[in-house]
Amino acid sequence: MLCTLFLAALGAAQATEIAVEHASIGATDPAYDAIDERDRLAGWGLRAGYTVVPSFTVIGSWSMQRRGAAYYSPVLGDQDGNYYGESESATALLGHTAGLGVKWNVIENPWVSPYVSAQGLVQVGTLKLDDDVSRDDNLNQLSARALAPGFTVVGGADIGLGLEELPVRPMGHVELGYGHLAALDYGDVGALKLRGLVFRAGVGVHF
Amino acid sequence: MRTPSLTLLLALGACGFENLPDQGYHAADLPLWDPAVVSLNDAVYVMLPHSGELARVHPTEGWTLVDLNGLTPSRLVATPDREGVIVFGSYPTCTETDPKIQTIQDCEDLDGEIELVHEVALVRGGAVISSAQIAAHFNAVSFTNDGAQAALHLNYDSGADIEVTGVSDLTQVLFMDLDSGVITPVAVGFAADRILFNADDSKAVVLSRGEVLVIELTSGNFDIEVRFPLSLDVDVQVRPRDVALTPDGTYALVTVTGDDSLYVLDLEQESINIVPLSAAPTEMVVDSVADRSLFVYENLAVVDILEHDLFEIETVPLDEPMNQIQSLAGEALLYSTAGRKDAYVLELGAADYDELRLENPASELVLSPDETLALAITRPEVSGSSGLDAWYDANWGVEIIDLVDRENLPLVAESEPLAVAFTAEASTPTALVLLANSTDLMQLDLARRTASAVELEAPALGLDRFGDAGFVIVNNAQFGLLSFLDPATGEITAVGGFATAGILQGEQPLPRLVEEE
Repeated sequence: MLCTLFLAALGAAQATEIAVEHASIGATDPAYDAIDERDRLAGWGLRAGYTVVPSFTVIGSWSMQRRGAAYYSPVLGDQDGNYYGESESATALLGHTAGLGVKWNVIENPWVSPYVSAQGLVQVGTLKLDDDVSRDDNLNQLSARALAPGFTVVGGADIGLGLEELPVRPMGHVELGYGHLAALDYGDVGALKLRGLVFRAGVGVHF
Repeated sequence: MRTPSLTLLLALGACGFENLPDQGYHAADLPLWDPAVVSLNDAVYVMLPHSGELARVHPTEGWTLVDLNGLTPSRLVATPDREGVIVFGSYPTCTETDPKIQTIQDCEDLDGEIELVHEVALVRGGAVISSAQIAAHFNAVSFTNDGAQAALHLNYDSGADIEVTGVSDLTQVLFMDLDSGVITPVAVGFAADRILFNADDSKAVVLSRGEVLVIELTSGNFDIEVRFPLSLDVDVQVRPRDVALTPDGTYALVTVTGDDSLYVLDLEQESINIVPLSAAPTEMVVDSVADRSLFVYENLAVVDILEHDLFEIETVPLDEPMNQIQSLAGEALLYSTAGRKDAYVLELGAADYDELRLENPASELVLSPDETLALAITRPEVSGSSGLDAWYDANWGVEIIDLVDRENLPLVAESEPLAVAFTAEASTPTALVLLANSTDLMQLDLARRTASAVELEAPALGLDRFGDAGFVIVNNAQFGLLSFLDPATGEITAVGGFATAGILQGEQPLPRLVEEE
């Protein structure tokens, strides 16, 4: 059944699209500073779409993020409260974002097709903390996972090369908009609020 | 072909700790935790300066945060029964009252100013029992003998800046009922910095600059019963250095900075007697068994013994000046942390002593619970010797002092001993020695004179008692690590990660908005 659907989709002209994309979302929350000095959480992933009716495409996406930093803090060196320097630790966020939504191509054009798109998101973020990166068996290797729903609303454009006659044609896309995720709640460790400007760009094929 | 690629990507995303991404760095402003922990009977309490939280750490229950209602702790003091901890701290408020102000940033954006409100809270069993606002300068606590009351005052020994909010009254002492948390302010004279309680806790003796006050505690009114001026000339400032009560609580003995006079205050007859000592003392100890007081001097090789009937002094000459006294119930161990290597076991009744000679100068000395043994941490010294003596002089050590047989055994340590402690197992006297930069906790069998090591997760910073007979070792780990030792089994339970609380620090809320409104 799935195979039949897949072949039918292939048979429909330009009904299916798949692309590799770079995706990022704003992370101006001061809590994110402990993981990344930039104000964005960026990663790579895949976007796939299926045109249900002309100009309307169901979009699914997945992207993966790996960000981390060396974490320094002053250390109170003894029970008299004397500082004696800084020690190094590591913080990291390993994330997966899955999305499902729709895309409406406002104008169909073999070169540039502007569109608007909205997706519901689910973000899974694994926070990893390690205060002695030189040891594999360090007791303070801590890991916590959190899940947060959200959405994006973007405007963008599919960019083709005018090769409309080909059954499989290369395409690119670029889009910009706003994204909002609920807080990734890590309990006593804190929470991360990922929201703000969304930017995605990718290359792939339409067939 | 897509499936294996996807699996590989997913595997990368969920990698272990050996390959964490590292694209930059972050430097926190404050330490994640303070190793000056407070060990109570129920758990160990740790301040987390970065997050402004207080963590409660237990060997089997792990760690939790104590809800202090936004109070950022700055100092912890354990109650005498080790069932509670007094938490000094502060929380921020905004001078503007706009309902839009929820965070410190909001306050600053709307031209408000952040002010700190200082508070003291009593925590028992991981929960706040009571709390009260106090002036910023209160930083020290004295407890009654029964542990039912605490007196909060200013300790200016550190010479630190006194934080003043508005106008601070440095003449006040706060008496705090540790059951109800009720605080009563009492005016006691300028800069009261030492408070003692008599044996039945009916009176408090307060040292302030230039005078000593006796406050009655039984009526609940905290009335000043007696005021002893230490000088009749207002131009002459007499600064008390130390105070002690005689065993029957009748007399207060007050030593004065830079003065060889001992002020003997008769708390019942309300009179003062001045007893001349051999010099300005550096240490004073009252021995309740012998009913005598001892005084030693930094630069004078004598010990003065004061009997409490006629307050007569007997001066016993020594070979070297001593500056420390450990009371041994009728005897005393005199030693020096000022570079001298003599130690004396002094019999107070006979005014006689046995002399011991340490291999290196002592920096710290700890008595065993039954007071039959002492452990001295000895430090390296500049050596005029050669050979083995010179090598010994150059090293840190631990010296076992047998107070019964009056002999001592020097041991060399591979690094600086950070702390020593005796276990409570009376049948096999054992001492624990923590060494700097070492992951080994040394266990000394004092009967057999043998040593064994227990491996720690990380090098240690300190050692304290925990529970009935256990110990807690403070480890040097950035995300926090405590090792709980059961000396009976040698088993160690490590609990870490508590300092990660609040490591993801978002905008800082103003914690008591509702209360302000």
